[in-house]
Amino acid sequence: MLFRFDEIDRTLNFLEDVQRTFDQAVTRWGQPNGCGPSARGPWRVAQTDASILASIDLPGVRAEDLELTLDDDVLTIEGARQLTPPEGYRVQVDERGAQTFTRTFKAPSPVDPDRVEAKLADGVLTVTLYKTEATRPVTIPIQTA
Amino acid sequence: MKTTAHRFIRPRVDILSGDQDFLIRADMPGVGADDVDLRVEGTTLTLVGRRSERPAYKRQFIIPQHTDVDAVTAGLRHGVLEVTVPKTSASRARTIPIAVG
Repeated sequence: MLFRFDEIDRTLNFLEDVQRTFDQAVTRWGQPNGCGPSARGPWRVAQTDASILASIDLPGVRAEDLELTLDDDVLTIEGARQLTPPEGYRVQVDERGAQTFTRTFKAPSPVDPDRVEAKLADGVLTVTLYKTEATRPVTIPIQTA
Repeated sequence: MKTTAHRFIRPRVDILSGDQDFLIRADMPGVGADDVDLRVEGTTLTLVGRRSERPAYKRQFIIPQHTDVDAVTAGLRHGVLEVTVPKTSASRARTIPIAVG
């Protein structure tokens, strides 16, 4: 007997209809459904007086598959992630998108090219850039009469 | 400030079908191994991944028939949750040998 997916899909259709009455969020197996971005998500930026923190979601990317370059105030990340199905598997639902990616981030102010820190944890890359002395905010003392 | 429990993001998934099992790979960046909640209720499989300071991931699936829901396993690597749903023998594709006369 061969396992027929189309037949199972019909069964699932029925199952989903039952389910839908109490949970709209249920996805029918085998049917891709629109959802939030992941590898193409935005940069999240935080700043202190001295540094700029830029982080981005890179699920499935290992440090060895990622290359970072800083050219002036433009940070470029290039990489790839392993999406190829293991031997003997075939793809039923494919939502996770591209295997390779390039993203850039333009720092909002000049940064020190010799001082960049990058950390990759749980599929999130966080890059710390340090502002050049000249661009750091200066507190101006106010003289009182 | 406590975040509202109802705000979830749907993780993107790939579903792969092999001879022995299904693999669900869900992108859940920012989720650590201790922050994953995997639940099977009846025919519904629920994946939840919690993150600090950002909305949690949640997605539900109807599990196909001929799968062993009690033997579902999962692992998290580089922000990707991989769930293995074993197929029971009835659902495994079999090659039928053809006797040559």
